[in-house]
Order: sequence, then structure tokens, then C-alpha cells
Amino acid sequence: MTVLRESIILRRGLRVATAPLAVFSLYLLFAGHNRPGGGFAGGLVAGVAIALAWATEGEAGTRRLVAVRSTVLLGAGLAVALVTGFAGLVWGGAFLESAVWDLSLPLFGDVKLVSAIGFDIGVYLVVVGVATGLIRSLGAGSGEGPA
Amino acid sequence: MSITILALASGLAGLGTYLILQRLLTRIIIGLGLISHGANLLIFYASASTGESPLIGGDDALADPLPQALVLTAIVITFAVTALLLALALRSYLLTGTDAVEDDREDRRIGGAE
Amino acid sequence: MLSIILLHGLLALGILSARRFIGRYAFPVAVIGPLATIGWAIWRAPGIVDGTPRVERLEWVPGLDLSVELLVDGYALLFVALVGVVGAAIFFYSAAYFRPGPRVPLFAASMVAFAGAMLGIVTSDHLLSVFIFWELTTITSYLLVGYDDRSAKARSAALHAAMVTGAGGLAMLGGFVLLADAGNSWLISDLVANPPGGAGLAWLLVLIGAASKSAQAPLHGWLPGAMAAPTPASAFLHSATMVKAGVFLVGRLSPAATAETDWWWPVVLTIGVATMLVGGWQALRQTDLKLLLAYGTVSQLGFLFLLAGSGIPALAYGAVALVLAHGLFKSALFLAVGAIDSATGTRDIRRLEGVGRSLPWVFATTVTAAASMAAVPATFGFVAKEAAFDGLVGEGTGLVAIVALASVLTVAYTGRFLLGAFGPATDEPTGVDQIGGWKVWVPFGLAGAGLVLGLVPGLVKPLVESAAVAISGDAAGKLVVWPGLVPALGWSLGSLAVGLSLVAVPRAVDAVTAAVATVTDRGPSTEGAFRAGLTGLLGGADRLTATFQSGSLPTYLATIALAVVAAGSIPLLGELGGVELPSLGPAIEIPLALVVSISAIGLLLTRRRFAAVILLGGVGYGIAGIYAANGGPDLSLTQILVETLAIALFALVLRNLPADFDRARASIGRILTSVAVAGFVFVAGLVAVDSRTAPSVAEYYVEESLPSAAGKNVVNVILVDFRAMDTLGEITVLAVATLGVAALVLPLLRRKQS
Repeated sequence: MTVLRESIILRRGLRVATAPLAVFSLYLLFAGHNRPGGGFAGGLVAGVAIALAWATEGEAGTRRLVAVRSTVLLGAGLAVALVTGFAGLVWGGAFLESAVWDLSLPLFGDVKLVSAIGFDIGVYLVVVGVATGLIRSLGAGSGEGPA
Repeated sequence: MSITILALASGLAGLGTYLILQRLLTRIIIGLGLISHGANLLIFYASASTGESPLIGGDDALADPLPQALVLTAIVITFAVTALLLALALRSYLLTGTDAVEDDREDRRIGGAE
Repeated sequence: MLSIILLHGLLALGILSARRFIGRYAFPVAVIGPLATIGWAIWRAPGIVDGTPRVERLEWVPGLDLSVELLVDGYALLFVALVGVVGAAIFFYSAAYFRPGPRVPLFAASMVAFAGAMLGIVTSDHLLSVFIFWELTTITSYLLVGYDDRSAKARSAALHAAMVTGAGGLAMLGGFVLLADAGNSWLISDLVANPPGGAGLAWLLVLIGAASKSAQAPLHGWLPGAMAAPTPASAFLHSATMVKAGVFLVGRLSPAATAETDWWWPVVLTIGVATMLVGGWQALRQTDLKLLLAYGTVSQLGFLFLLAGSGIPALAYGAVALVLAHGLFKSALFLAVGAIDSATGTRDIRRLEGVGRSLPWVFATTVTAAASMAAVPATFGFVAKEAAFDGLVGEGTGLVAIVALASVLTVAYTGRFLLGAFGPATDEPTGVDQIGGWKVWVPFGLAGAGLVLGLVPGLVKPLVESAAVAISGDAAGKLVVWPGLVPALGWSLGSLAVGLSLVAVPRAVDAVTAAVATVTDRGPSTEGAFRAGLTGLLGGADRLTATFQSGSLPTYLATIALAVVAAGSIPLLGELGGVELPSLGPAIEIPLALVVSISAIGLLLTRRRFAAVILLGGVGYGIAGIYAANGGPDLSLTQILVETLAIALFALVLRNLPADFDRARASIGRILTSVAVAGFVFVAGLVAVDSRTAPSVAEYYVEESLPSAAGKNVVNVILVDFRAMDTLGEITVLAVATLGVAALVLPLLRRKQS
């Protein structure tokens, strides 16, 4: 992978590619409830972006995309998933059961807000944390800084 | 579902078995990956349902979404297991200079072979 | 009754936890259990004897159909009374028998725990609780036989008893499960009322369990060995109660078993007769009073097994009466032997002399109880045996004649017992110390009870009759002091006379038994057979371990793979008939399948690590294509992304490793294992597709996805809503794996860098 760092053109090109990947990853996350995608796929796309960032710029590149330690993402993701689970307990009836709110927003019109999207965000955060953590751990020794 | 998928599942499980019965961790990890692919295909095949993607809205019959959800979970878990095994192989190489799995001496002693 | 059983458990735990300071009060505390049992029996007896069983029920795990079901009918009540009365007597005796010591509370706790378990066996209606209590008695018996844990003989005898009765108990459990399955109920009362047909194996397994517990030939060898236990335990467990558990069980089940199988009665008859004769014969050869009694017990158990297991009302009546009689006279004799032992320091009939003169009450006790054992008129032993003979006469002369022969042996070994204990010594005689208190009066009381009942059997008649009615539906017998001039009287007096004539010529009997013994002792002994079996078992286990525990990971994995294939193939191949081969799928699958196959085969051959990673990617992307072609866009997307990330991780790791790696030499075993796994997967797929019996749960998911979870992508809705708990577990695993990777490699890579 270090070969990628030696070619300036490749490095520039791939660096530019990380931005659309990040956007695509968020699109997959939010589209997932109705179209192919979801927290897993979205998180994995972000993971690919992080891998590219590592390949072109090393540890610092991953830090540009994910400013925090991977453990923060893992913890936050699990917490979000659990909290929405309990939200189901409060509104929906059972632990992890979806609650659905019908909202009328000024710009978007009628929108259905599903608590499950919160759970999917938790999944997304965990998967991003996994990708970040794995790349930083296994890539250590050629960059610097903690995982 | 087609016989192609079943044949692939069976072949991948067999090749994967051949690889995990060797001593280099790299080969074992690859073998495990093949076996997982085979298992995923088998679950997918066993649903025995053909149809459109399970997205509500169309008029056609939908494919069974449950095996897909199971396999999706399995794919991601296999990824995590592969990462863990890679870390083990790397650790083994850094500590002993090889990623080969040696015989477990303690096991042999308990078995009475030594 | 449940509270009484629990009380026993609490007493045992209490004595155990207070063992440091309970001292001499261990037995006085323990005796609360049997006294409570007696109180309960007296309180409940009138209703139960009138024909209304006492039923107690405690739900435990309703979903699994597990509950504690107690049913105390007349039959159970008889055993409850026996456990209570003999138990109380023995606990009082034990208080005097043991010198206070640190281990005495352990003995008391084991005894009271045993009494509770025994009550559980006889009162449980649920087969599984019968089994649990059954094994509890095995465990307490183990502890009691091995009480003298510094004696290798006691430890070995304890193990022998536990292994034989434990293995029998497991066989019985298998039988119970089959019975419950065939009869669709765990309750004995249901199974006896509506015996399941076609459960021959189940009955056989239960019979094996009962025979092992009741020391039936050829499994009887553990009982004489169990005499290593202190005498009170021998009297309680190994003569009066525990060894009767098997008799109890066959008594309960034999009406159903004889109705459903035609072999049960002949088999029980053979076992019982063999046990009677072997036990009686061996008793004639013993020189240790306690061993003599033990073999006598074996013989009596054979008789009881035969009567109770016959399923014939008249014989069941005799069995019930004899259980009571035997419990009283045999425990009295054991306790008397204990008294003699502690007064003289020996139980050897060659060295005992003058005991009768020094200990007249012990002498009176022993003679009375022995008379009951030999069925001398005016004892309860006689009354009960008359009832049994009366039933046997109706079953044919051959059967009576064999039982009469065993009775002759009984009279003969009773005479040997009395002459040995009180007659002149042939070896250097021992002195006799004076003893008194509970040690003398408890056996005296038990023997006296036998005498009183022999003269006034009406006292226990309602109990015996209701017990017989409970198992055979009929009280087909009578308890009378003097039966009048009937055939049964002829048989019993005749065997008594022949037996007494043998007692008169002890030298001739010794000569004959010794002569026969020179032949029979050349054959395998039960103890020897057990030892050989145990050694073979342990040696076999060693060899098996040495074979499988080679320390080689490939061997282990191959073993697991082949075991799965072997175990799974048996049911699968049976389903294979009529399964059709599926058709070819969409054309796009063919090139994708080719990519996957070529990459996978390449993986086998390549020697370059990076090439392997690229090939693995080829497999993954090809499979993603196949998912896409079959209506799985989410799968396809995820597979592609995972494959990409996995390649990145492989690359990160492999840059640290050498570029080449060796390919192992092809081996036949590896190839065959792989082919077996591949074939197994193929067959499993063929059969699985064909075996759907219920509509897919997915129909519900598809219907409910939009209304209740407001999502159109059903796969995603399953992951984040319907099966969100699974996903929560999964992301937790992912997080943990990530932390694991960091912990495994970070310290090493940092060190390498610096």
C-alpha cells in the first residue's frame, strides 16, 4: 500500500475521492430504511474511505476523516443503539421496538420519523469505529499516535 | 435458486476445509473465509425463494428477506473474525518469526503421547 | 410430605454448617427428621388407608412440564412409615454407637439427607424427581460406605457401590425418558393407569436400574462390599430401606409392565430366584456376622424382587408384608451385631464366645429377630412369609418348591448366625465388655415389634392391605397368626424343618460348601468382574485420549469436520430419496461462478501471499455478483464493501510477513476430508430446500414492514427492528473484536517501530 504514497497523482486523486465516499456513506445510512443500504453498508463505505486515507497519507489521513479515537466511536455507537432501544420501550412498547412519528415539516412536507433510524446510526458509528480501529491497529508501526 | 449456487457452496466449503487443514495461519484464515462464503451461499440457497429484491412497492413476488438478513449479519461477523485472526497471525509472526501453528505440547502430554 | 422432605434437607445442611460445635447433639438433631416423618404418617394414615391418596403439587418450570408431584398412597405410606420408624430407631442407636468426633456430624448429615431422599423416591409421582432422589440416595450411600476414608477397602467399596447403582440409575433414566415419551406423561400414576404399548426397551432399562439398586444377581456384588460402612448405615441403607428402592419401583410398575410385555415376569422370576439362591448359599460360607447378614439380605431381596415384580396381586400382598417384616428383623439384627462388635471388638464367628451369658438382652433380641428371619411361627416374619407362600401356591408347585429351597438356606444361615454369635469359639475367644443404653434397647425394641406383630398382625393389617390395593388393586391375601392346615403351612414348616436339620450338622454343611466353593471360586467373582471392568474402562479412556489428543490443530479440525459429516449424514441420507436436482439459474451466474471457482482453486495453488489476497477478493466479488443476480442487493453491496476492506486489512498485515509461503504437500487424508465436507454441504442443501413444512416467517415481515416499522427495505427493517436484538449483539461482538485486535498487535508494532 505504501506504493500509493510514492505517486503524487495517485495520492491526490485518491485523496479527492474520500470526500464523495464520505457523502455516499451518509446517503446509504439514511436511505437504508427504504432502499438498499443501511448502517452496515454506510459504515463500511466510510471504512473504505478511511482505508484509502491511510494508504495515501498514513495515520494522519485517518485522523483527518475521524478526529477521535476508535474506541469513542465504538462506545458512542453502542450507546446510541441502546438508547434508541430503550426509546422503543418508552414509546413503542417493547425493547428495540420502533416508534414512528408523523411530522409535518415546513420544507420537507410530511415525513415519517422512525426511531429505528437512531438504532441504525448506532450500527453505523460502531462499524466506522471498527474500520478505524482495525486500520489504525494493523497499520501501526508505520505511522504515529494511538489508535 | 440454481444448482450453480449449491455447487459453489459445496465446492467452497471443500476447498476451505482443505486450506484450514494446513499449518500456516495465513492459509487457515483464507480457508475460513472460503468456508464462510460457502456457508453464506448455502443459507441463501436453502431459502429456496426466487423473486425481486425485498423492497416493498413493486408488484412482483419478493425474495425471502430473512435469509438475506442472516447472511448479511454473517458477512459482517466473518469480517470481524478475519480481522482478529489476522491480528493473531501477525502477533505469532512478530513473536516467533513464523505464522505456522505448532503442535500443542501440553495437549500431547495430557494425551500421554509424550 | 414435601415439607417433611425439605425438613430433612435443612437438617442435613444445618448439621453440616454447625459441624464444628454440634458435637454429641448431631444425632439428637437429626432424629427430628424421622420423628416428623412418623408424626406425618400417623396424622395422614387414616385418610390414606381409607383409599384417598395424599397429593401435593408444586409447579417448578411449567413451560417444560416440570413440577414436583408427590402422591402418597397406601404403598408409599408403608415405605414412609418404614423409613420413619427404622430411621428414628437407628438415629437413637447411632447417638450411643459413635464416640463424638469431628467426622460424626458428617455421618449424621449424610444419614438424614439419605432419609429425605428415600422419602422422595417413594412419594414422588414424577419420574424425573424419582430419578433425582434415586441418585441422591446413591450419593449419600457413597459417602456413608466411604465414611472411613482412610481405609482403602472402604473407599473402593464405596466406589463399587456408587458405580454399579449409578450406572443402573442412568439406565433407568433412559427407560424413564422412553416411557414418558411413549406414554406422553411423566407421572407414574398416569403410566400405570394407561400403560404405553411398544415400550419394551424402556421397561428393560427400568428393570436394570431397579435390579442394580436392589442388589440382584449378577449385580449384587456391591452390597457385601458396602458393609465397610459403619453398622448403623448398613442397617438403614443396605438392609431396611435403600436397597428396597428397586423392589419398591418394580412393585409400582409391574402390573403395567406385565400387561405390556410378555417377558417381564419370566425375567424377574429368573433374576429373583438366582439372587435368592446365590445370596443364601454365600451366606452359609461367611464367618463375619455382618457379611453373613449382608448375603442374607441379598437372598431376601431376591425374594422380594420376585414377589413385587410379578404383577400378581396375591404375590404383591406377600411382598408388602415381607418388606415390613424384613425391615424390622434385619435392622434389629444389624444393630445387635453392632452391639456385639462394640462389646467384643470382633464380628468373627470363630472367635465369639459367651456373648449370650454376658449380654442377655442382646441375646434375647438376636434370637427373637433371627426367629422372625427364619419364619418361626409366632413372629411377624412367619406371618408375612405365610402370606407369600399362600400366594405362591396358586402359581404352581415348581415355583413354591424353589422358594422353599431358598427358605431352607435361610433357616440354615440363620442357625449359623446364632451358633456363630453365641456358640463356642473355634479360635482364640475374645472377652466381652458390658454395654447398655440405646445400643441394647433400640435393637431390642425393633425385634420386640416383630414379635408383637407376629402375635397381633391386625395392628398393621390396614396398612399392608391398603399398600397391596394401591399397587395391585386387590388385597389378595391375609395376615394371620396361624393359617390353619393349608398347603402354604406345609411348605413353610417343611422348609423350617429341613433347614433346622441342616443346622444340626454344621460340620457336614461346611464340608459341602467348602467342596463346592473349590469349584465355584475358580469362576469370576463379582468383585473381580467389577475391577476388571473398571480397569478396562480407564485403560480404554487413556487410549482414546492418546489417540485423539495429539496436539495437532489440523488433526483436531479434521476430527471435528468428519464428526459433523458423519453425524449429520445419517439423517440427511435418509431424506435424500425423491429430492430433485435444481435447475440452472440465470445465465449471468455462469461467468460469475467461473470467476469464483478459478479464484478459489488458484488460492489452493499460489505460493505468493499477495496473490492469495487478490484471489480471495475475486471469490468475494464474484459471490457479490451472484447475490445481486438473485434479488439480494443489500447482500451484494455489503459483500463488496467487506471484501474491499478485508483486502486492505490483509495488505496491512501481510506487509509484515514474508512474500512467499509454503504450500503443504497434498495428503490423501486432507483431500478425503475436504471431499466429504463438500459432499455433505451439497446433500444438506438438496435436502434443506425440500424440507420446508411451514410458511416462511418472512411473510409476516413483508406484511408488517411498512405499517409497523415504516420501512420499505425489508432486510434493513429486519436488522434494525424485528431482529434488532441480534444486531445489537452483533455490533457488540464487532466492537469487542476491534478492541481485541488492538490489544493483540499494538504493543508489538509500537515496540518494533521504536
